[in-house]
Amino acid sequence: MANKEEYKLDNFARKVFKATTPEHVRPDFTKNVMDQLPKSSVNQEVFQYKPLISTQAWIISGIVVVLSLMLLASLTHDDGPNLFGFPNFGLSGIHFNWIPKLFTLFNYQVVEISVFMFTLYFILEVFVLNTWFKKGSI
Amino acid sequence: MSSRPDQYYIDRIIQGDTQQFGVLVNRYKNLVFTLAIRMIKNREEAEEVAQDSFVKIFTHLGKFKGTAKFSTWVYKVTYNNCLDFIKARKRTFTELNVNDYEDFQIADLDNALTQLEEAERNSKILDCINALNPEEAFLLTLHYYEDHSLKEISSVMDISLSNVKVKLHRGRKHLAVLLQNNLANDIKLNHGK
Repeated sequence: MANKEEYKLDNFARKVFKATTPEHVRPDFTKNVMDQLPKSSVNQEVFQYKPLISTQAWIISGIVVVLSLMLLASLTHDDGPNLFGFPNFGLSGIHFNWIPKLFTLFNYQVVEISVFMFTLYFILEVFVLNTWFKKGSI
Repeated sequence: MSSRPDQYYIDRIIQGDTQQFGVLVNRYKNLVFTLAIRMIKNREEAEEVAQDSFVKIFTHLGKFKGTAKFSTWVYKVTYNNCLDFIKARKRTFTELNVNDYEDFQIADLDNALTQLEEAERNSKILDCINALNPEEAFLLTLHYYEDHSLKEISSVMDISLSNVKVKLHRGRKHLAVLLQNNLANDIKLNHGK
């Protein structure tokens, strides 16, 4: 009954719309559009590689890392400054004994869940990015 | 009008022959304008928005990958442009109550419309279409004028297929209610005969 009503309404709406004529633009419409077009040709949007992290950012990061290591070394080394006035650089003061202990926190279940969650995240990310890029261009 | 496919002209425009864009404008101008006027409800503003839509289409033609029909893309740009225009001018439209539809007979309405002179019928129908909210007016126009599939409409309006069905259903009912209100006197007269 509802479908029959819907069908009747659909036919009626079609008839109503078909009874009217489409609107017509003024004769100079196309000329006006053509006059408004930018002088340069179509923007083809050629993909240009642009790194996410610029060279400048890499250099600054590098300097920060080197300075941090030097500061760390100067704090952990007892010797005085060398010939050039720089603090002696060495990693002897850093102890890595704590690293193996970290692994004792993990067990197989944690690793399994992590791998599963990461895979899930990866698949979702691919799906989301794919949809996002497709949306930009039909 | 040339019967070559849209892609032929798109390729030529991208290669630098921008004058070929005129062929595409001529091909779609009336429907783009009709869609704009149904949404914006004002002739001058609709023409302005339609022109602007074509300029945007031209500017971003390189973005068109050809995975969907060119017409779908044209209507999508037009729809979004009209929405932006309405939003920018903060226009509001009266929401109709779909429940008013309850006790109405399509046959009566159909008879009343048939009895009218063509010009008067056209004018009354247009008044009712113009009273629809912009989204419904756009959707119904695309569906009934152009026989666009619901899937294509969902792509143009960027909404789900089920949402298109719901909006189409509501739009049809709203149109019927508006026509019923507009033709109330004619329906009564027909009943009196």
